Amino acid sequence: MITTIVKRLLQGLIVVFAIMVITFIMLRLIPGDPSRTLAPVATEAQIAQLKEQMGIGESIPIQFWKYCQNLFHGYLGYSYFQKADVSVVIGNALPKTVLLLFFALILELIFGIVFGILAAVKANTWVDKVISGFAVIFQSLPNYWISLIMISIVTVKLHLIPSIGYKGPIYAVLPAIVLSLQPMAVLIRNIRASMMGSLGQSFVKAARARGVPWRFTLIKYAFRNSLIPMLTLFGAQLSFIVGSIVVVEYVFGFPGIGLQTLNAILRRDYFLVQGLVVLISGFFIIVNTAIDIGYIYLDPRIRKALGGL
Amino acid sequence: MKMRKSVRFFATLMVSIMIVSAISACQPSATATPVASNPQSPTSEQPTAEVPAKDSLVMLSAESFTGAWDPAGHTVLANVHLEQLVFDHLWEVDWASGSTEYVPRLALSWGYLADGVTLEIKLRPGVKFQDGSDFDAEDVAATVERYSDPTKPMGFFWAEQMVGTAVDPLTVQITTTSGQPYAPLVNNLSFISIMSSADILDEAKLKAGMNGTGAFKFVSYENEQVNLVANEDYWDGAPQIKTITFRYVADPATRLAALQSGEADLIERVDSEQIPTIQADANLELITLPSIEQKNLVFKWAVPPTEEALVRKAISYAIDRETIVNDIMQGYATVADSFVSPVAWGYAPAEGFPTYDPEMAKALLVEAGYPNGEGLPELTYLTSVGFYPKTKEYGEVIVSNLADVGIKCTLQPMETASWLNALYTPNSGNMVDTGWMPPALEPDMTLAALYKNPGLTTGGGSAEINEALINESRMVDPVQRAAYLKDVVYPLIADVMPQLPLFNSMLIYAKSTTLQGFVPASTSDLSSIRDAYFINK
Repeated sequence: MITTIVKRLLQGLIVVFAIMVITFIMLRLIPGDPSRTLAPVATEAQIAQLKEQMGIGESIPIQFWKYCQNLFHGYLGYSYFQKADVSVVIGNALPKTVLLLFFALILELIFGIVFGILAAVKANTWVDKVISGFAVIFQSLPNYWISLIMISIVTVKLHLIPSIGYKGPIYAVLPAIVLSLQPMAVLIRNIRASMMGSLGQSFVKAARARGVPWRFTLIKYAFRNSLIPMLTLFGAQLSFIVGSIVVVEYVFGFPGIGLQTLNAILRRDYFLVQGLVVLISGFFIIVNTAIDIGYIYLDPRIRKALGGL
Repeated sequence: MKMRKSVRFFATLMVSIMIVSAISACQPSATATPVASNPQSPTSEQPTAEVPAKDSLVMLSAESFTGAWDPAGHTVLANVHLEQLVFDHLWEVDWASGSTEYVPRLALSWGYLADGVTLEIKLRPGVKFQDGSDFDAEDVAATVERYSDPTKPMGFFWAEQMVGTAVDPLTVQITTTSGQPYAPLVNNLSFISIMSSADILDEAKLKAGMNGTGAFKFVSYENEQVNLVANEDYWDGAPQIKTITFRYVADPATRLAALQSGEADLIERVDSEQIPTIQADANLELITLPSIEQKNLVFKWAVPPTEEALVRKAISYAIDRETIVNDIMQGYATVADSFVSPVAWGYAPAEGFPTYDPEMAKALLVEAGYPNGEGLPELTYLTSVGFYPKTKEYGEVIVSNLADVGIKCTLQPMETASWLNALYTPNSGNMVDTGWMPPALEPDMTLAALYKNPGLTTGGGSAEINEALINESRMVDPVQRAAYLKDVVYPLIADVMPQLPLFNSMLIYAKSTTLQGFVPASTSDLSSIRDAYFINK
């Protein structure tokens, strides 16, 4: 188990480095650069001077070498737009996004699992139809639109929850609801399908024949058997949520990692983009490793293949 | 029992979520700033009349800040807005009066000496910088020299380096290096932020923050947010608003929602589609006024065939700008008929300025040797998306207008950073959409910047235009200068058409009705916030 984890993380490190190199080069090859954004009407001479000050005046290999040297000393660079070290900018934004993700995942899991099981148990009744109907609707609606509708109804019209900007954890609630809706819908539909499959399996029937109580069978047998495909789905959904965070944070003006990423790319804030890419790719590596470990834990076949019990 | 456990597990989780949400709802963050009052009855025991009005302003900026605190070291409008509150001007337009005459601020009086070149300024006594140092003539001299330094970004707006001389602590003389008169001087001095001469010698201090004589002090910049606090010792009386938060919010819909929900008190660059919503809301007030900004269609002279004057004119006559203004901009703009906005000093309709005339466009194409567009290569028209409003929509109108006279053209929308790069690259396409918003009413901030050969964005121009621009910039007599602009400069430019001004923009703000005393300026100057205040509903 430990060997597997270490191996996965080492592979992940190589992937992060490769992503870092690609990002570094691509950023500098696409048109537009931070010096022009900082001083739109500056002359070519002033732009050259500004690039020198910003550490982007030399050739790409030399810039990359210096960047790696700084990274080795734990320095991610400086954001000229935010007038702060990249680590400080990320340090300010990360806790807010983590809170947003936490709220969104909790909402998704609770409501997704509960309604998914309910739809499977009440298959083809009006309960199932209502749940499945809502799931299809939420799966189809774009995040940008849901965000605007939520803001306009919940914050502007009803004054229930403030949601624009960030002055405390309450500001994460509405964006978290928006973030959770689409993955929640997918989860509901998958759990419903998976549970309906499991409920028809012979081991569930056998358990029921042995007199095991129905709800115990549901959770212990059918639901647990549905967990492995759910885990794969959860990994994919986490990626989806992180992707959606950019749009949702933008609309809510929520100063987290997503908004920082978007602004940094639009302004060509090179060092901040690089720092954020390392952070986000590192996050995905860790999540994927955790999911692999989850398989090992949940599926006795994989566990035995790796020499476990 | 097992069954109950599972049910209990879910119930516990659900309750946990509710508790977490409830707790978070009750906990103000440590860094929370005062929240704008919502239009709800006050919960206090006191009668409404005795509840003090709020004194903290939140304004949402449509443009991002850069953290460049040296006023001469950047040309970013969002930062200029901050400087208008932290620093003072020598003199400025009192926009509330309806006149564009200058009123004294840090200067008490000013006028040219007998040589017609040297401007002498008498300064206000007893003014202090926010760091406690005294304001005097040395500060003005050093500031003017820094602003006009050709190596500084703001030096772009000056024809040459100025020389400042402190005659005594409250008298300063400004003259040119060349010894020639410089007509834009008074207008140019109206927008500069007066800095401390000691700060100018200390680059580290300039980078660390802003230190002016203005009504508000700079406190901090983090998370795309700039915080200012009232300068209680301000020479013109402490402002009633005690804290200002400027926050960058890119999305217009988010800016409006923040205003509607009371999270913000003032927003800029309102989309024309949002206007009915604002007008229908009793808690909001819409402010529109003509802007000094013009939207331009830049012709790139380095890319054939837009280096040919006849082709540029044909394109200019082919574009139906009335339709763009009325249908796309929904009337929140005016069709341009000159090379500066009607708000600018010295504006006059330009003789020979193209109107919408497809027949004239076709005739010009024949004259250029491209009858019905035959022989013309397909043109490329670059436009930004997400920066200026409706660029893609009116870009499509322009492409369709050009097709009507036989000119094939491809519209290429670009994200802002790429577009900005293309705008300043000589051979990036045939035409680029852009806007130009000078910080003062001085016409040379547009004419010398964009139409002097080689033009900043066009890369073209003519020796005749250059000569005419030099001549007008030396006419210190305003009447003579205005006449020369109208009779000589504008017709000359119309004959060459280095670029086509499409329309004059309008500034559209929205604010809470509780915010009073905010007077918008056509230059987008926010100085009037120092006299603004809040009332209770």
